[in-house]
Amino acid sequence: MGYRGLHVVDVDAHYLENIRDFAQYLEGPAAERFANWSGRHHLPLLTGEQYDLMLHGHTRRDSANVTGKGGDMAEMLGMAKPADIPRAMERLGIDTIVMFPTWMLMVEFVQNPRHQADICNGYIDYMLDGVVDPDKGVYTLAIAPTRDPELGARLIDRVADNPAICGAVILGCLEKPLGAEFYNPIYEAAQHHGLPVVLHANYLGPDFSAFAKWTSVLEAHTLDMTWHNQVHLVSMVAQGVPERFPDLDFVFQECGITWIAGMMYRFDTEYMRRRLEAPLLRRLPSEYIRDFYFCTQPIEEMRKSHLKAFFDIMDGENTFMYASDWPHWDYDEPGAIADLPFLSEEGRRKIMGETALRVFRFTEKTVSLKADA
Amino acid sequence: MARRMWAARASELPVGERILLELGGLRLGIFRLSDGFYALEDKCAHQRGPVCSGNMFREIRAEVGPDGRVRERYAREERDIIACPMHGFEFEVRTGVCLADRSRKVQSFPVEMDGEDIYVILPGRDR
Repeated sequence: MGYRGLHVVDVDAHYLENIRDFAQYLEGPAAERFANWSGRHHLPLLTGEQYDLMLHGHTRRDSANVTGKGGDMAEMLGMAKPADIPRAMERLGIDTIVMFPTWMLMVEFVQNPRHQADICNGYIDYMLDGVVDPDKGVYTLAIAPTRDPELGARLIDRVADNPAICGAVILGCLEKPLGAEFYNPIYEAAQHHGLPVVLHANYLGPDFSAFAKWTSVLEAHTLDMTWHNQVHLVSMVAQGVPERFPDLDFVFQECGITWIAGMMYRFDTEYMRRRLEAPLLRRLPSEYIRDFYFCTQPIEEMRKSHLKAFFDIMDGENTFMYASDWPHWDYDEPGAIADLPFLSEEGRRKIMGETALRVFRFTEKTVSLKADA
Repeated sequence: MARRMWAARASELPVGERILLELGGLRLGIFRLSDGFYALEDKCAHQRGPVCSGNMFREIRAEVGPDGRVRERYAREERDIIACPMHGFEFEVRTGVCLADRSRKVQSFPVEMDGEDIYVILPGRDR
């Protein structure tokens, strides 16, 4: 497979998990509560239920169908069957894929720490039981419940040895920024098992945004995801997470790449004046930020010479990773990155797969896979 | 040297419809609007998606009225905008021009009629 002879790793694609099926993977009272839940969803709904992420019929995922129907929202939310995953990989030219959830993106809203941990445990066992398959290049991440980070660490410890687990993920909308020592158990567990920590930015939509009440998805989506990642990135650097966990890799997702550059220099400028508030740091904030990894999706539309400048500022050939976000409305084709004219051949290979193969914990079979030329 | 390629019969294509076909090594959409036939390459100017299989819409515009309030309206009653099903980018069927960024364009080709027959004029192949 692959694209242009590259081993393509997609570090963010979405599965449409059936949350009612989680019950069979739980034990004790959690199983009973889950199985007998009177509502439909267990979790807050994605905002697409009210605002139309499908763009009022403008986007469809049944693109072979030209009957003029509006398309199926579920098709755009995530791949609904295990068999859909290899089809999507074939369609996009992806060799190795990391599956993220759909409804579970909202699990951070579950306030009860035990209930949140039950959902996360049910989810990961559901995914490991037949959805993912490392022999076919299909992986997933351990979603760490954060309301009680000890429970998050316990989950990571429980599943870390499974070869289909390639990292840990913290899903967005946290009330406490990620620099807090509160999260140490999760970081310690991930570092102990050699797993990177992914921060998948979240989008709360016009109604739920913590920042403002919007009138459109356009406004909310332009701002929410980047703000979300900025909040946690600034907190993590200022509070010295890279100094406290030097062997831990962090991957930020879902915001494109331009939000980072301006903030790096603003952060440096503030730090030069207020270094005494962040005494753990031994380097400029921007230098720590260049040690993080960033997924390119959705890559910003702009003049190529300007985009190249952002790649240069961020050392993008070494810090960026391709992600598709398939099948979401703002997904990126591999060609959106692999065909950028200013990339070196080495940089192209790194962004499209080699960096992910090094940072995530994939099996030897996956790492040694050679893509078709 | 341009190539004049037969594409379809007019009677096969009601107003407001489109057909997809391969012609001269290109995937094309042939559209029939109220004032004639148009041909676009089935390759989105954004990420090469199958733009010609998208849904068709009326162009929505807005203006500020004398009372200072925004009023939305359709530019025309006709559904002459095609939206790429992959990401929703909108293009004028008549010109291929992108509504949000007029420097972007889906490739369009001249169409000629000969009675019932629709011909598309494609560029010649490079030698």
